[in-house]
Amino acid sequence: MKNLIKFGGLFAALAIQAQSPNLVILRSRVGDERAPIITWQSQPNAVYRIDYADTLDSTNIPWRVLYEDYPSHGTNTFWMDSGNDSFEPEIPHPRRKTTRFYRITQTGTNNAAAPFVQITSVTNNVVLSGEVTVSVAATTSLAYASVKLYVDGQELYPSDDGTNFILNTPEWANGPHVLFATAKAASKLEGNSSDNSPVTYGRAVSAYVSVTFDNYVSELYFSEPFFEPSLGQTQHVSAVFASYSTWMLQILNEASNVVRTATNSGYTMEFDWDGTGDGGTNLPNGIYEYLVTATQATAPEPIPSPGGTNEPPVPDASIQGTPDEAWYPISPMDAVALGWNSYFLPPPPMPPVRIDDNWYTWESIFGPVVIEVPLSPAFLQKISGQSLAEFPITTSATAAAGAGTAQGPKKPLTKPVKGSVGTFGIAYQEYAPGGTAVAVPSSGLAAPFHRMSIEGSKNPFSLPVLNTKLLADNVGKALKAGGWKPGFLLGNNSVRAVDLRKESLGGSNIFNSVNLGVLLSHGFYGTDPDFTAPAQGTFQTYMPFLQNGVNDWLRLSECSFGSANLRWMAVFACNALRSQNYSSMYNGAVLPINPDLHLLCSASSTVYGAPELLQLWAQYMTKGRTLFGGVETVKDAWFLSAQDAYANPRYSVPSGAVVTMRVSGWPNCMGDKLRLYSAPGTTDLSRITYQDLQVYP
Amino acid sequence: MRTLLSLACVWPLVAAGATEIPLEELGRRFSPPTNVVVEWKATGELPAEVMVYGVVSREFSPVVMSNVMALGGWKTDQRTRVPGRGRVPQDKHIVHFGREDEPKQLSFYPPAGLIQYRDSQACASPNGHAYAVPDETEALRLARAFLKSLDIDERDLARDANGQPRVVRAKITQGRQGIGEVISRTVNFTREVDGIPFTGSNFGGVGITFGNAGKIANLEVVWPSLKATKRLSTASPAQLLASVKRGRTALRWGPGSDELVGKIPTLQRITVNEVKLYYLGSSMDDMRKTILPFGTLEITAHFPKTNYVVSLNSPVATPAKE
Repeated sequence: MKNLIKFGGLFAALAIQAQSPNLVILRSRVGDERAPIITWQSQPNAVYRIDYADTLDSTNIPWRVLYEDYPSHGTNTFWMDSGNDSFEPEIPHPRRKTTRFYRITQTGTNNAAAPFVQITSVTNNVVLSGEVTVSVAATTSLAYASVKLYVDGQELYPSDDGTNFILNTPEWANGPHVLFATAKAASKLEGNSSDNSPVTYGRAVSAYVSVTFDNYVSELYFSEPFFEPSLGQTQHVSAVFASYSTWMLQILNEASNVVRTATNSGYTMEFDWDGTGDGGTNLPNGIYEYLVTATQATAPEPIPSPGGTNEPPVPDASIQGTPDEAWYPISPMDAVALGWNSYFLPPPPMPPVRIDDNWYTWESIFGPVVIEVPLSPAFLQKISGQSLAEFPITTSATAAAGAGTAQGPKKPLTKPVKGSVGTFGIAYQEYAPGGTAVAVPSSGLAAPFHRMSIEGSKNPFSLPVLNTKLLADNVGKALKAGGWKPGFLLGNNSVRAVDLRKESLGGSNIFNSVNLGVLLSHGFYGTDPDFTAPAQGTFQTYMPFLQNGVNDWLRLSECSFGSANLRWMAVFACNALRSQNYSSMYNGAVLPINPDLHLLCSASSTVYGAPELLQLWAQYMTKGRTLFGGVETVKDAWFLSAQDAYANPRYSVPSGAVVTMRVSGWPNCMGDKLRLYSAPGTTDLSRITYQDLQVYP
Repeated sequence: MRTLLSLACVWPLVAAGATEIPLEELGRRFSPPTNVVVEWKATGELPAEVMVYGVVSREFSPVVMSNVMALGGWKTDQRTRVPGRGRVPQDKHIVHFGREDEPKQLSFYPPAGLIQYRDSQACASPNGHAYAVPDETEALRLARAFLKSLDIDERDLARDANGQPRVVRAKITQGRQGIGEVISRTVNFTREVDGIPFTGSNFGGVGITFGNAGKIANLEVVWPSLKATKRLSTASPAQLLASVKRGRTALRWGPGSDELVGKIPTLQRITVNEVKLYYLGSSMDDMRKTILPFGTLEITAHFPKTNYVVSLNSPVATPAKE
């Protein structure tokens, strides 16, 4: 067996480049995730970034960020590549990708006190089954700390509450796994006008917690992160059972009704769902979960042993067969029948190997490749001491040992979504630590009247730092969890005012490419009429867009939100729809709401960046706020999320502050839900209306 | 944070036997320099003892259920399935009326003492006009009257300085330009137990929204039955000061606090100006099995050049040891 080349060891060693001085790759291997796990010699207190490239066959290698801000574990650090869905477009899991090369770079060191982080609800050597809540606690002397949880170096989906993570163990292989958590603490969260000192960070990693997963149904796996039947995709659902079983796969819609059932028997489950219901009925796009139920059963006649030896033959380099034709076991059942302790899977395409500046195929150097998958301890335990003829147990097993269920998907990077529920785009500006002084916008008039008054002053002023990235990340994650696909996530230098301007002004109007837009920035209101062409003498509101330190003011009337795609837009910026300015823009027919936009959600007062506010908005729209109310309308979710975020005793709105949210749009659309909405039904701009709710106090 | 965001877990992890709220749920851990001077200038003190309560299912009386069902004209045999996905789809404890496509819907959830009623047609439509929306005084009168229908005694409501039920008002204004018309008014009452208020009506209390002609457009009741489970001693002023000094309080998030945090190493002195006690209760999106107290300290943080007035939250029932 040792002559079989295990996918991973040489792969990673050749493909990984240590970018920083003194950074030594110690080892790499491929786990049962079919994803490289890379270990390197690290500096305590250091922070690393992992880049990737699809090819090295170039003098100018196109390295791209795969994972960043990864803290050192001490003198040795490991990490698993499982893709990254926080980038747009999403970086797929390596099992869905061909070749991938890696570069590891130390990007810095902690410049503030490290937090303390620990996994509090799971202890070493515990056996975990089913869905488990893993609690992580972080303490810091800094302003705040955020935590992440990893399994074998793979980051889990973020915690809903910042502390508790859902770990659906049947989606991993049975056997040993390592849990650890990381924490990142920051000296402060938000900027403000009187303190623009840079934010400093400290990071920490918890102690490793060694656990064992043990489930009757394990390795519940979904082939597609999103599932698009309209593109000809099928969702391949597979699972492994602890013994030969009759199994049932039930596909559940959002109301937990079963819409499709499949049954069969075997040691494993393999099912391709084409997106239709029982009897081939059409099903709407949306969130579907998969419930697998397996019950131990009598196996059919076992496969005869090929030669009665427990030693596997040495593989022949000339063998190039497909898995179906392979002489080695390709399933747990085959392995048992052959008396092996492992079975083998085909690998993803292997990278080329560079020797003396020449490239060679992997196979030409190392021969054919397969991935060895050891049979799980639980599986082996069940069959130990029994002859092949006695296997499987059919009568003596208890119900608990001989049956199980698993439901998913909950493991990154898979979403339980069929088709496209909708797309979203997010753009934000954080501004620069230390503040950036900007001049007021031009008024469109000649000197000496060429400068606007912004909030009563024509003087330059400083733009404080905002925590918009945190809000943007949170709302993006919540929308993804609700089944929405990201169209773009652009921040800081990646988003310019011209990207948001309407086409007639030379802009690219990027939000019109998605169904739901979220813009986070500073907002200021003019106290002089603005005579530039788009504003037409109205009182405008303004958002500053810094591009490498140079500001470009975006007037709200320079936007034309709404398209065949864009129905709902959120502008989380102070005073963006301030009453006086809104009325002026309304009367001048220069509101940024065109006949295709349904609703514009924003504020008519100062707003405060409670980190969860927009996340709650997304959750209320996609999953609901209460046990029983179903999803909220876009408008109500906007109001309720602000009310709830500001009412929480964790948050403190400045004394005396009054926060009023405003939703503007077409009357027909005020009751829109994300998946049940009405067309505006008119192009008469005078019909545009608004609702205000004071959400604090 | 979990109060806001508990989606996956219906019941949070504050165990039934817990006696204090984790600091992380109350804000950001506040760790002043070890040499900071902390002084007490608050005039009031906490009560010597405080109860911990367990949440027990509230069996809504037939009268209460009937009163609320009357809002939508429902009869008991019109109970329907919960529309949509919900957090716990088709939880057997939910008593629901109204289909998703109907304007009126009502849910009772006895395990957490929740009632939610909505009438999407009670307020002026975006194309219509409001009429006879109660003014503030009338809305308060109507809301107090409806409390009786809910079998809620006003003596169980938090009070203001004048001894009247503490009321938070809200209104929705609708229009096309200028000053819009008020299409709804909301009255929020906060619950109080043993003289200790909950943190807000959505964490324990009643919110009633009135629309056209005083119709109830929205009703949210968070009023579980409570069973005293444990009596705890509260922290003395000296113990609270020690808690502050030893980093066992949490700074409430917010712009002022962010500014303060950046300067913590230069913090010289902390003055506690006021202390208040609250219960952290359930809310519509986060239900708790245990209702625990915490204290809010209004402090002045003294720095070399400036001072900040901010709030610290503290799990007062488990005082720091001297």
